[in-house]
Amino acid sequence: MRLTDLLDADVLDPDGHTLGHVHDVRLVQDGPPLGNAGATFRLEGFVVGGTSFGARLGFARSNVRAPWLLNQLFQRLQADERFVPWSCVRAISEGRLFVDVRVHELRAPEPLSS
Amino acid sequence: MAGRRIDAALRLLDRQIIDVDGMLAGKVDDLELTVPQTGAPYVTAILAGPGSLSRRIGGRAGAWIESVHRRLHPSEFPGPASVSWGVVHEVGNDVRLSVKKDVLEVDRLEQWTRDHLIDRIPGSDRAPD
Repeated sequence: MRLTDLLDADVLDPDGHTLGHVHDVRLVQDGPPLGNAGATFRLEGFVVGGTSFGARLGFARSNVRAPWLLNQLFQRLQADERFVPWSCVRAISEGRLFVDVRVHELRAPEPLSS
Repeated sequence: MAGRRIDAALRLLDRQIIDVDGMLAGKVDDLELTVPQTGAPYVTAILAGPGSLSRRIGGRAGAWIESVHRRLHPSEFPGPASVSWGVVHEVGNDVRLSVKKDVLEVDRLEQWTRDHLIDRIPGSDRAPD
């Protein structure tokens, strides 16, 4: 599986409704040890939202300092982001993630320090 | 740092790879994840170079890059250059390795391109001013 297979994938709930698409893949460094690297990164979950415009620029999900106007714009665009844990994923197929949760059960992704 | 969390597209994609001697060794174009029998997938390799970038770009431009990569690649079944996650020393603003770049597959592709293409261009042996 490749990271790029997951990015921008559509995310569908049990009723077939689209929750959004994958903006990012959150990793946590508690996977099996590999070579000299120690614990590798395990897939913890997905940052899912509507429009991905600005998502990769990171203005809304990091402590990057941005001009005030851009900050306000991207904060609004990313306000609907939700975090979908890997444990909620039932299947991945042809650019789509099928999850067993609905939007009201999801929370915003936890902000990470840079 | 065990337990550290990062967002892969934001913090890893397109980051510079730097070897143990501080030499540049390509960029992170994709990540390979292994899906175990039970539990979540985990990162096992960085994919770098035109073989992986073509897929990200997609469309005609991606297909063109892929075809150029296949023609330039020395092996019969070229795939993206892979850097095992086991040689990653640190992930920060860039990705630092614990090995020299000349042991990496990325570097072999680069060397082949230099030996078979770049060196044949007239004037390529002249040092820049």
